[in-house]
Amino acid sequence: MARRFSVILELLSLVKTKVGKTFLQKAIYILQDWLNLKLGYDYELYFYGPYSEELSDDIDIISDSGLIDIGFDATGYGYNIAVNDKGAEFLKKNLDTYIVDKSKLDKVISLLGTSDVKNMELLSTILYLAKETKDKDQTMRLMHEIKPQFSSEEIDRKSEELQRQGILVFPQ
Amino acid sequence: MANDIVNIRDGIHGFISLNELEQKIVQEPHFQRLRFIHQLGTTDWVYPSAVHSRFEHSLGVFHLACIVVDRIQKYLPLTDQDIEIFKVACLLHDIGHGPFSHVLEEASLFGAGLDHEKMGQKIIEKTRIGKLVTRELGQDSYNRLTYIIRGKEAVPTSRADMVFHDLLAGQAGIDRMDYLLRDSHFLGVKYGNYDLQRLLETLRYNDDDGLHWEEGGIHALEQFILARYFMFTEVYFHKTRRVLDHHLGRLIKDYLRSHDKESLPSNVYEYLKIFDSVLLLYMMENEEWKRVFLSRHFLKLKRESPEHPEPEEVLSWEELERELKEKYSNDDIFFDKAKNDPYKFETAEQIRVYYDKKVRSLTEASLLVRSLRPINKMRVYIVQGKVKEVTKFIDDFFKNKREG
Repeated sequence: MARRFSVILELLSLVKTKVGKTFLQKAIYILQDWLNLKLGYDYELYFYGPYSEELSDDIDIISDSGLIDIGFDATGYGYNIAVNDKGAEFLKKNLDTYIVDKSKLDKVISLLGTSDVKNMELLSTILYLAKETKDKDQTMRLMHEIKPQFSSEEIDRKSEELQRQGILVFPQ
Repeated sequence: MANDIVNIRDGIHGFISLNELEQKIVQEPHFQRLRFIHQLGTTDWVYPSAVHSRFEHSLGVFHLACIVVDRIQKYLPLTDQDIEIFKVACLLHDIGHGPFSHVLEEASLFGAGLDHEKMGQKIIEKTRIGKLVTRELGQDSYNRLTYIIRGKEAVPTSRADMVFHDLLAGQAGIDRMDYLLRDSHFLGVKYGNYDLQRLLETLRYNDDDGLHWEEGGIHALEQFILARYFMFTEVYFHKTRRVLDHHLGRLIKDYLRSHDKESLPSNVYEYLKIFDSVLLLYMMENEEWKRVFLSRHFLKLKRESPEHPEPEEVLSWEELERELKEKYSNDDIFFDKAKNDPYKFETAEQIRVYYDKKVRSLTEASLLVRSLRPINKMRVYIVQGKVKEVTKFIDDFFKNKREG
């Protein structure tokens, strides 16, 4: 649990933009399943992309412990989550032995830090389907099927972007 | 020969109607086996009337599937095949449960990479049930069932599959709708009751927001969340029920060892031979297990954390867990956590409602739901003969922590 807490708090400390629970769900998914940071969260594919109930529980526990502040965003995108002073102090004092590879956290933040929830849904669903099917054509076909709200151009562009960034790699 | 429609009477929902395919599935011996799997493991040793099985729960979830799919197809075009696959998925969602349901996972009795859902997938694939389903509903129905039931290890083939998974397994899905009412009824408690009709009536769907409830359903959802909260604190995380599950896990391990096995068989047909009665018989033939269960010689609860421990306390309790497990065996102690309970209470993050002109999370829309705090309690149970020794170990541990 301490390692998980550490990654969640560290991520929130490093991100400079306003983020919510969707950011944490998708960022931890990418860290775990695409950047090989082993945290043991079990993910399922829900309507809005990969989601881990266990991670949701951990976020609630961290919030209940008073280490992060969760507020509702007036812009309509759900939540704002930020590490507060108590969380920063706790991270420094208790969790420094669990500090993870910061370059991975930076990578996921640069990928998602300024994304809106719709963009995160698109990006993480492409990654999830790619992981399961290991096939580019099938991934694209399924994306068009299950996410009709995104245009073909949006899906293709995002897929190419992920491949250019070296995150999404389809087997040859 | 199966009739067109058969009606089965159920104590919770009244008549449940099955078509020919559904009747054939229910008549399969591997489905009938669910009659011999307690829905709530050892709970009847605490609440004696909790003797209901996975069989009637599966029928109950199937029945709710028929109702919700009827509602949803007003908003989402569905084919007859879509509808039947969803209904069959609901009927079969618990087919992989082994003896005493969740005890197996908790005691890590499955082999590597297996759990009851994975076994369910294998049972559907390897037995006549799979043949019946693929013959009637097409070759891709097996993969669709896997995704609808598990939400992983298969991909959705359409938007309908994603909605179906949410309807079945979501935080306010029909699996939970059924077991809260059923468990309450059979236990003789009222904690799990809520307004089912209102919940079903206010269910909505659109392509942008997915599954959600209209504003008029918020109070029924609040009731539903409270029902989960109370059932967790009063039943699922009951201190005696939890230690009984621990003992039962030990008993099953012992049974497997007596058959030269370290874990449950991964072979489907071998797995299906082990159900509750097999283990109860083993219990009755073994003096030690008779003493534990019949004479109620359970480990004693001797120490527990607050329900909402401070973060430093959580780390200390985790350290205590490591140290206790290094020094003592599972025969001496049982370290339990609310987080490990298969029925743990979670907030309503994924439940979405139309409120104040847009669809948003129930947590955002409901002050009452927002005020419910996650329970993070940890407990230490100790065997009678070592209560003094282990208690001293724990006292010393916390004393050292305090003194730095």
